[in-house]
Amino acid sequence: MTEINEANVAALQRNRKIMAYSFWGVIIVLALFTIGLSMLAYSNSNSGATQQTNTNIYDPSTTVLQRLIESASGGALALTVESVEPLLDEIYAPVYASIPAYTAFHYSVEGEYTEIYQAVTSEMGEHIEAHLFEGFEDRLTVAANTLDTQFNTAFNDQLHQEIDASLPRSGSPTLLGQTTQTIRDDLISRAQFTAPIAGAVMAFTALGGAKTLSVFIAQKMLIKILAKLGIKTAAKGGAIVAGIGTGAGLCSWSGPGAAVCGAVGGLVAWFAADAAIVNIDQYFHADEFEAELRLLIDDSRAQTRALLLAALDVKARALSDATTTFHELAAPQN
Amino acid sequence: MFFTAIISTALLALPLLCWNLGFAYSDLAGVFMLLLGALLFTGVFSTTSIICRAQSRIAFRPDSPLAKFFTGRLRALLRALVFTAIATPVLAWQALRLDTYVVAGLLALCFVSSLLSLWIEARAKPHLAAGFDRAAAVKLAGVLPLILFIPLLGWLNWTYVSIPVAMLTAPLAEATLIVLAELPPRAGWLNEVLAFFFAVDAAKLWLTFKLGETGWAPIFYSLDAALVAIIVAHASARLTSLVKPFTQRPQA
Repeated sequence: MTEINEANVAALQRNRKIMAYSFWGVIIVLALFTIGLSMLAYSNSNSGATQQTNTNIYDPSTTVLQRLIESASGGALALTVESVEPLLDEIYAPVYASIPAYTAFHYSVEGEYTEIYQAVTSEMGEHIEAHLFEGFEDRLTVAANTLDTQFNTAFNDQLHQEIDASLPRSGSPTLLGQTTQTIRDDLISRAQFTAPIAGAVMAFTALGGAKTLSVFIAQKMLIKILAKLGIKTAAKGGAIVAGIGTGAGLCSWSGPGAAVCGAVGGLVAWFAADAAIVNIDQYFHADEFEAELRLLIDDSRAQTRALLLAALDVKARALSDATTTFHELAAPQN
Repeated sequence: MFFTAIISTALLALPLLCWNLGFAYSDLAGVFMLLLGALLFTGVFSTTSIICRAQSRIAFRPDSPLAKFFTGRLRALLRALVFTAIATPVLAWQALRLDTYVVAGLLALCFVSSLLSLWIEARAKPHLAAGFDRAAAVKLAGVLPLILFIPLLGWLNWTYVSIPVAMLTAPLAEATLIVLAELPPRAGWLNEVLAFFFAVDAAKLWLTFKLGETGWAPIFYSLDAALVAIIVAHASARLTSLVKPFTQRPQA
């Protein structure tokens, strides 16, 4: 009986020993693996490049590759930014071309009453959009697509050039590693759908687009129209009073209808005075109005330029794989 | 007690570290996660089976033929399987995406949870039956540190974890592709499994951006940090009960 118990205790102790050895063995093996893999990762990240000399395959380290991507993205941005001004010229050429026609409309009796009506009903922005910004959003979308294509092409070229330039030149010819090729090709295909300029423009048009720009111009013009209305009303006062008097004098034969006839005379005098004042106003102020309208459109052009440049910058930064944190995003921007 | 807590922390951290370092080179790194899965399963099963068996003994009459089948082992087995099936892939995913500061926070949580389980077990021993002291310690140590660590880990994630700038403007589909690009460029079942978690992460980041500066954004963003904290605290407490017999001499 005692022998059996002793045998059991010995077996139990042997099992415990085996378990303990296995447990500590696992811990030691894991620690050794950790050290080995850490050293491997450390050597890869610091060597600058992993060059397999026997096959002459070259893969830049992630740090080097990141620098090459940033450089390619920066280069593509610089090249594409050069196209922004010519594209803005194309977008705004019809807008500038419609200024004389709009000025002529503004200095007409019809135009004057239309503008006053629109000032009251807040439809002036729509009117300006229809006259000055017709087809603007379509032209802007075409320009955005052009910028997207140009950026993607430039990024493709720049990335190939940057990676090729980083290949070691000494010794026998070196081939680019499969990993780098995959990353490069993935980036190039990603460039097509990463933060597209067309997307930013679409967001802009969805939020108002040409309407926003037109309202901006309408707000500036409204102040001028109201000021002009005040001056004209004072000038027209005398002409109308004279018109009513003349009308009443000429219609004195009609007896009780003289008052109505006088009122018609006043109305005729009102529009006659309007036509005269508008013509005088056009003679003296048309050039000034045109210049001011041109300045307002210059402002609108600057806003569109800022939109396109910002969209390009976002695209370039997105491709260079920069990172941020939510904390940084929440922090107030200086 | 400290030594046991250190070894328990190492037992959880080392397979994850090996997985993190090895996955860039080969899918064979999955072996480390299998090892961790086995450890977690054993840890959960060993602590749960005592309670389940005790509950079954109370619930069934000794002369009932059902008592032979419902010993509590099956319930313990299922609990261990469920915990392992959830914890292993979540930890594998997080181990590939963690920031240094968050890693430091999780290691501290591991250590605190382990230490707390040992302390509670020692305090509960005079009051609770054998096995129940350990079970109580494991449960409490898996919950109490979370009061401090969930807000801490949420803050660390919010403040230090890097997000690709491209996510700012990307639509959901592109955001998913940006996050998936972080996986090694090779085919394999591990990538397929992890792709699901990475896609969920992308959706979370995308939605956080959409929520903008509302008060919900940090809370929503910290949901997975909270899930990881719960898993790590529970795993650490369970592993401690597994480690203890090897690091502490049995009391006479």
